[in-house]
Amino acid sequence: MADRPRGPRSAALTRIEFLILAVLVRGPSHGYGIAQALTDRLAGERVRPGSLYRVLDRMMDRGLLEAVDDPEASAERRSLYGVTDEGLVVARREAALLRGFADDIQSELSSDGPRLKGA
Amino acid sequence: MNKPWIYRMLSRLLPARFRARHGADMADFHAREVASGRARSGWWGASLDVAWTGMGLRLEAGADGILNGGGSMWWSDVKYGFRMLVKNPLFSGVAILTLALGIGANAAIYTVVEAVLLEPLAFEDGDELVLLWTRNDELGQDKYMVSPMDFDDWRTTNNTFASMAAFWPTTGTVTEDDGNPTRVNVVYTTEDFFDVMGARPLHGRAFGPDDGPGSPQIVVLAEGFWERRFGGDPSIVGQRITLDGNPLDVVGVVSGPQTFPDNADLWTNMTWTMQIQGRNSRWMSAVGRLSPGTPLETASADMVTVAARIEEANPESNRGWTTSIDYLQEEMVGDTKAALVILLGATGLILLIACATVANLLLSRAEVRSTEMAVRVAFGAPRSRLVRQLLVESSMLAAAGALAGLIIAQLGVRGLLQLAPVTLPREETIALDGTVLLVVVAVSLSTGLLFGLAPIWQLLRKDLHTAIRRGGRGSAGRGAGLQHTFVIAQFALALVLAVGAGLLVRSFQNIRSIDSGFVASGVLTAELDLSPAVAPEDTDVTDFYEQYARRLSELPGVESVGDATTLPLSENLDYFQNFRILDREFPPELETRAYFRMVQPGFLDAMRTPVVAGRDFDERDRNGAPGVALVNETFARRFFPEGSPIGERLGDLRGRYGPLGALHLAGDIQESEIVGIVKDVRYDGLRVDPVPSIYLSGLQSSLRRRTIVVRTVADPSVLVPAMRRTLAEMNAGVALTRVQTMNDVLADAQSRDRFSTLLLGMFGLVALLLAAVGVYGVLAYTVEQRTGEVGIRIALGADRSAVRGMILKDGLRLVGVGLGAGLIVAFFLSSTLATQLYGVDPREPVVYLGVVIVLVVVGVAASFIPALRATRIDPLTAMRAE
Repeated sequence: MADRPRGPRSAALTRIEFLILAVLVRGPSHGYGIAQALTDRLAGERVRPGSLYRVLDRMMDRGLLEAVDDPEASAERRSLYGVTDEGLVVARREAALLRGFADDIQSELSSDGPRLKGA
Repeated sequence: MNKPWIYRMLSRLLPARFRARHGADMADFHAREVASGRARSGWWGASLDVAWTGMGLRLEAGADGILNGGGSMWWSDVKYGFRMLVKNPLFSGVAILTLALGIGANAAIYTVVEAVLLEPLAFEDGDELVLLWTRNDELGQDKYMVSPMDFDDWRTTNNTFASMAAFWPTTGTVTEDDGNPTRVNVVYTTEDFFDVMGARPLHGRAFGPDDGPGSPQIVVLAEGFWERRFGGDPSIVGQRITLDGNPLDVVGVVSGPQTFPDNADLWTNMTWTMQIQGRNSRWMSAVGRLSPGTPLETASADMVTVAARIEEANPESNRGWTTSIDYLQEEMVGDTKAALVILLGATGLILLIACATVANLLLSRAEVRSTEMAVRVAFGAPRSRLVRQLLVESSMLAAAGALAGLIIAQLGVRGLLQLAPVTLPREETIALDGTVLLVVVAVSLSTGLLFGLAPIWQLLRKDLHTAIRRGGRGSAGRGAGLQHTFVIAQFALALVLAVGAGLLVRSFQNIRSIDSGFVASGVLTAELDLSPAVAPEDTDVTDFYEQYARRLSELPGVESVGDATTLPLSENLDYFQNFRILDREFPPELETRAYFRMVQPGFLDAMRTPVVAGRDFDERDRNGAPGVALVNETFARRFFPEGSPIGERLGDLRGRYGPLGALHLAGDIQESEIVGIVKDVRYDGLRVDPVPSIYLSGLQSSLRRRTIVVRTVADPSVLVPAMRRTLAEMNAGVALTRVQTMNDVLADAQSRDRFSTLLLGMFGLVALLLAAVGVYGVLAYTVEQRTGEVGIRIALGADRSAVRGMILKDGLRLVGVGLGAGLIVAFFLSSTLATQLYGVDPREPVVYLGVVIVLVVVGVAASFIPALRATRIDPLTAMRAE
């Protein structure tokens, strides 16, 4: 698996990956903090901790996230998850893409579409 | 309960790189989530998440490894082991089932042991709590109750207790708004009771210093009763309930685990002083809290001194009376402890046998696989690699066994609770929990190591080159020696268990054949308590009971009816008192005390307890008539060894037990004539010998709490509705409680013995089965190993029956040595059973002989099949294979 191509262009983001990026662009966080923010955004839907860490691990492999030193680090020598420069690029691009989709859907729904005419 | 260390430990299951990146953060995540209470399944759910993630990642890595030619060595060991297990389903099945039995039995019994014996009491510093009793060796009285005056002296003059409280468990009636009566277990306590116990109320308050003598009577509810009766509504605090006709304020609720005595429904404060009666009226119980750090022995010695001072000052009432104390926890657990410890030991033996069985199976297989191992070594595999392979395989077996064992344990615990004696203490706390799971994991891992070591040891000592040359088949060598040792051990252990089971079965037979002094079948019993509101005067009490008995006897199917203050083998209160026989002196060493039991005319008839001399009570023996009494055979033997007590006169028996009523109606009865002798009845338990007892006529006593017995011609339980209806017609405010057949009472009295006997019997059978599997496996394997040799013998003309005999002899030699070793162990261990046995010597030869015969038969049967197979060997095939 060592020779597989890696990088921002290798694959699109899954929804959970995008949400994690969205959480972390505000600043680095622990896994627990990420999970809480996600639960808020997913309207209470819970992410299994094991799954969350597997996604985080994958995103680190892809160079989207990196370990950041925790300013309040205790003896546990834990680090925070932070977005890499690459991650920021991907997040921006993905956001623009989604905003485009969202605008399309929005205008489609609010314009006088065929469905509304028939009514 | 939160256990971060477990998550950290389990994070070792994660692949190294993943753990380095996320391990600490993940452990912290789980710790915080469990602490926040959001994790639905608690700490074990979190543990499962870590373990699951680790396994998933490793599985993927493993799949990757196979595809790309790499992967973890451990993982390949696991895969290889899994293939080996699946390839030999019979071997794996037997091994896993064996382990499951061993682990499951241990987990089930340990669950009970943990809840009953190991978990601390729910009270604050519960290990400082002790119960106190009076004791009189001359009278054979132990753990007897204390009089209020003596208790007061105990409390004020001791030097070793931080505090001490008295309580008196009794029953009462709570009347609902609609007038429906409910019988409840009421505990009268001194005002400091809850302080002494270290109990904190759930709602409201407990009793305080202002609730002592002279204060208004108030009530604290037990959580169980509060849930049942008031639906757990906290607003009951501050309201009133009607107890025995008196409206009383409810001031608080105390939690279930802090409910003591454990059947209490509510507590009410003693509003009287301790100077109400003479020192002879012993009816209160006492609990104390030791001063911090005081050993039990010191407190015990202190209390003996206190009692001696009281005795010196009051020789009349206190001669020979001293005190005894014991930890509350010990007391709550009672003699269950011995039984449970024995059962735990038995399951430990089962586990050892299971280990030996599996080790033997593995050894047999290791022998078969020795070629494989040798080839692997020849190709350069280090032995450490093979050792790891074998360890992984045995751990996998252990893990599978543990999983199956947990299922068995879950079922087992449920079954245990069904079987358990009615009085199994602290039953409400018994459940499989995290601690038990940890114990199971630890036990399984160590069993895996234990039985995995045998083949490894063998592997390490083996000359592998010879193995290659022999193609996996050799003469019974070192491996066989180990296997033989295991079979010997199995039979030895099985014999120990079977002897234990045999002794208990024998003892239980004895218990069943004990003459209880009554005939239980066909009798229905029910308790009744007349409050002063229902029957204000003494004569109202006797009238009520007489009338109720008469009306019941008119019901169809009823043969005879009577009531008594104490039902044999029940937990009814007993009245133990001095007596005096007019114009007669007894030698001073003969203590003139006896149990007093009030029985209605008709009671002895209904119980089928014969009057062996003189006459029974009848209608004439009522209030106003001359006083009469009956005595039991033990009384007659002890006090009138030469002559007969009939015609002797007992002195004044007037005595009033506070709210309980009077022993003997106060009227004109100054003396009571003994008119008959009653056959001995076992009152205090089937194993307890009868003690001197005096029966008084129920029509001449106003004791308010009695048990009605009804003998019927058909099934007694059919009668219950009619009994209730009749009572309601007489007075709707009286409740019938504890309705049960006398057969149930008898079964309850036998339940503890039945429990131990049944369980140990089951364990004995399992041990026997495992031992049989063991000897069969070894012999079958030996026959296979010796196929060539046997083939040659047969080809050379050996008699087939001689060959069969040879194999059988091999088997029986092992069995014989095992039994010999087992006999020695059993001989020394059996004395630990002594307290559990009735009428059986722990070294009863008959039992040992019986067990040996059974085990020999099992050994022969298990050896016979392989022996038969040996004689069917076709010499040509056998030699070709060679």
